[in-house]
Amino acid sequence: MLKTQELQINIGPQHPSTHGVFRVLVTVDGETVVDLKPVFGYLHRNHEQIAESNTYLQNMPYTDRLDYFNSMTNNHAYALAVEKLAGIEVPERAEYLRVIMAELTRIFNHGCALGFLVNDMGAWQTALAFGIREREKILDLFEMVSGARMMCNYFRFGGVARDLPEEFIPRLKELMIALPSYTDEVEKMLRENEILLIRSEGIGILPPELAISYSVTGPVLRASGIPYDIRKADSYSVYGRFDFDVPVGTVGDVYDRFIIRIEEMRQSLRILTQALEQLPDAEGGHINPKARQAVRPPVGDAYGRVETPKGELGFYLVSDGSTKPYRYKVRAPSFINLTPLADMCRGYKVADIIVILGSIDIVMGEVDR
Amino acid sequence: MTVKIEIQRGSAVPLSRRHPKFLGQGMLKGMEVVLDHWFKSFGPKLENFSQTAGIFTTEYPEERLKLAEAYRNLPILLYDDETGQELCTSCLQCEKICPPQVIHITQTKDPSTGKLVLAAAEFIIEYDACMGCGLCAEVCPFDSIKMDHHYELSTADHASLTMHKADLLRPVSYYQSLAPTFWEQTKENAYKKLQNTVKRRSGLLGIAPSMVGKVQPPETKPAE
Amino acid sequence: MEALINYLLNTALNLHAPEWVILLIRHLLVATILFLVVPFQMLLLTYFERRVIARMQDRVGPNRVGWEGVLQPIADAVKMFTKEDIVPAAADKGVHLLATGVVVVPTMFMLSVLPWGPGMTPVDFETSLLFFFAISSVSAIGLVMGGWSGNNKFSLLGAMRAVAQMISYEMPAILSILALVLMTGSMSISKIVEAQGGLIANLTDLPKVPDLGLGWLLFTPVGFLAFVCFFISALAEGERTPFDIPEADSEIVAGYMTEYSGMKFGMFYLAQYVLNFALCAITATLFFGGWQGPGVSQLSAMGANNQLFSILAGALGVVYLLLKTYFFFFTMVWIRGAFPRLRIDQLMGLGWKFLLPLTLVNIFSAAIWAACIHWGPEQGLAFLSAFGPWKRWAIAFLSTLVINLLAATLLVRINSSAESSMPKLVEDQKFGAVTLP
Ligand code: SF4
Ligand code: SF4
Repeated sequence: MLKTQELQINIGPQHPSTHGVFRVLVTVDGETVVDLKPVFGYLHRNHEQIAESNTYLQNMPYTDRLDYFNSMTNNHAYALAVEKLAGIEVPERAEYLRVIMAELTRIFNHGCALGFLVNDMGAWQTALAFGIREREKILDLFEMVSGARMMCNYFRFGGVARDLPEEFIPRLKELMIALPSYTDEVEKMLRENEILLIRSEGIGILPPELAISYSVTGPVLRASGIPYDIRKADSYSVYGRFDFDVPVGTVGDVYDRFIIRIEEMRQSLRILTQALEQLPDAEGGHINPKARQAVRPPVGDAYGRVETPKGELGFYLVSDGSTKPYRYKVRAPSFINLTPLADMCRGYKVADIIVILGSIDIVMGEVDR
Repeated sequence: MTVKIEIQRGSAVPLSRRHPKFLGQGMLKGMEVVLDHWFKSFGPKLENFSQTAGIFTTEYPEERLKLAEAYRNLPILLYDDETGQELCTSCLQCEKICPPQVIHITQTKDPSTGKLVLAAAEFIIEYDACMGCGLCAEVCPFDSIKMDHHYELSTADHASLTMHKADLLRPVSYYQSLAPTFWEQTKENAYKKLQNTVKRRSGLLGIAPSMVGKVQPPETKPAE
Repeated sequence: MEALINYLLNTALNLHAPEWVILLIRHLLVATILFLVVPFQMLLLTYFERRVIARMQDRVGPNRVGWEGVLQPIADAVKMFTKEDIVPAAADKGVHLLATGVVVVPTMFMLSVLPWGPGMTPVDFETSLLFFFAISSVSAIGLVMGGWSGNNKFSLLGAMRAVAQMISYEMPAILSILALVLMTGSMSISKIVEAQGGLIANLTDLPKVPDLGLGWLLFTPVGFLAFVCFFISALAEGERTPFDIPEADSEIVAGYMTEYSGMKFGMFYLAQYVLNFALCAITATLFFGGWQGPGVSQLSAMGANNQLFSILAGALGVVYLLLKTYFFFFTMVWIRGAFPRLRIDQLMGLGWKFLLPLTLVNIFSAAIWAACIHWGPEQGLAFLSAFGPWKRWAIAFLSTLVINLLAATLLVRINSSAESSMPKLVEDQKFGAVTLP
């Protein structure tokens, strides 16, 4: 064997495709990855500590900023945790509105995640542009209901901030015509693309045992073949009333993580259609009026979790009976899904690191908090 | 150990890994999609949500999206068009709820009696640190603080982003033009409360500075 | 052109200039035109690319500066000029500066041997095809210089990749061109273009076909396979998607250009677009008849009596060439819009394991083609002259078609079976049940 020298490269923190300020210290032998160390914390904002000095409601807008792509699902997890802690009932209509928002979030997040993944493989934005196009429409809807496109701050304890405006449902129905053809189009464009296939098949395999021992969740776990979806496993909100499947991968490589997102968009569309059919009329109200006042939960603790597009997002709250949480802990899916990165990358090429990282679909705001 | 994961309603479906039949098929399909979009971009613009092709750029600043009524940017304060009375009573609800603590209110004292009057002497919002969450507008019991739709606020002068009361005040009619249905819902309540407030104000206290001189201060003295 | 200058100097001005003066003036003029046209083309190409790709993505692209944004590239150029030129402290400053020149100059040279229209080759000589490819490799040296002098791991990696890629794709590119040289019997680009008159079959092969300027080499099995191989190699050499690995921005930032800024960066940019333009133009020239097209040869035949017609023929030829070139550039942009990029080892594999054998087979078919059509009793193949030219052409067409098809399918089969040997780790896994360690 030829004796070669190992080289250490820093990918990041300022790098076009680390999805934010994130550093990977890679040891390479030629182009082959020998070892890899993810380094994060550049975006640390003291989220949990700040939250412990805020009242419960004041934290709601801060949760938007965790995974700034999916503020609706972040709100959902936090609202669930506080509702569990304080024992707040949620009116039925509000539950449906929550599900609609969460599924719309999932669709655009997956669409954009696909785009980013293909971008990381070196495509020139086209898949992403299509994803962004649909996302813009969905964000228009979000703006209509919540007032903001990204930092929605829409959920409240015991419901949602306001009811749907009149033009929301017709526009959503128009969008529901576009979304299936969008997913079909992305699938047609990329699913069988030979270049994408050889770039992603057999790359970054995460065996199911390893995935479980790293407690990976979300599409990454399901791509490894484990049908674990909190919407099914710990059915929260009204998810128990909908028919939908859980797609699972067979190999656990980048390609599985790619196609699983397309399938999940389809399933989300199914849920949306059913939710629109079942949506109760506005009489029940969109918020539990009792919960409008400042919440002062009894002493105790609660853990609320939802299936965000990126995985299991959980909020662990401990109350000491005051208006502020005594302990506030976020279980961020991006952060935990990132931990097996070294195991997934070892033995592959430098270019694969980027693709594998892209396939995990991280948002640094959530990783570093 | 084997863990069985039960799935009710619906099942776990393994993904099929489709492969193209001949080399180049998948690539050609991709090129077809892209070319299709290129052709359609010369067609009608994407305006309807049900379209998936056509140019979807909004050419700001010539074109602007119609903002939703619920749209929120940064908070403003309201005063009544006719009387010039501010709706704010300096109850400090918004100051308390504001998550980044950017609202600073000084309550008014009657110069003669030294008692608190239901009006804010100074009302400062640090626009640079406001996160636009809209909680202040939600909690205000007097419908005094509302979220503005004006978003072109960029400036090179940082200090100018600390907004004082005079910068924040807008007439009610302005807010009405932004969010007619929302105002319709709260109008009655807001005016009723304003009347109660005005009864307990005196002189020029609580009148928007821009309106001083244009309106007659209320004659009635507050009930002792 | 010489005649024109001669007329102006000697007859009209009565200067009695010697021949070398006339030649010098001619070359100076041509060089000036080229140097004016080429950067202009580059500007146009960047604008064209951005607008086209934007439309593919449902956007509008740059449309603010000037009418529909046509002045955008000029605004960009001004921005580049006025930007601060940063040279890293640890860089080798001399080499850092020199590299830009070494990269740009050869690409300009490439355009000097292109036949822009009938009789409009700036420098025409017998081995111009060889010159074209030889000079294009010189810029690889500039890339290494640029990558090494910046003293940055990313630029070094990028330069290494760029050189490896350039060298390994030069091979299939030249080998596929070699087939054309065998078919046409010439290494001069202008001769190869002239040989492409006709309709489907070209004039050299079948002298009797009507001359519509459509006897492109593309229409032969050998030419078609050569075209496919050459275009793929051209994409790789011009560092276009899916082979833009040397400057893969998602992996190694900007490759060898990472440490460049301001106008030096602009020069690399210029070199790249000029190279792309040259490659598109040479593809159009070699396989799509260059300036050939309906009407050009008729017009130039009329030009024998009237100078105006030959000027018209020239103009028409330039239009045809530019149209074809822009079509190829559109294809490049189209591919860029649709595909991700390959990985460096896959790229090497494609070049060496797929394209190289394919082009070698193609050279073999080209030899058969040449033998079927041109050989006769002198080569000891007297039986061939028994067939008429049509029959010989048909035999050549069919036999090369069969050989090329067989070779292509075989190679695809071999290469794709190697690719699909992928580990299947979760083969026997049951869904819904997981074994925990
Ligand atoms: S704006 Fe509203 S909440 Fe704030 S002090 Fe005035 S009345 Fe109270
Ligand atoms: S919008 Fe939110 S951050 Fe801004 S002043 Fe109101 S409460 Fe504070």
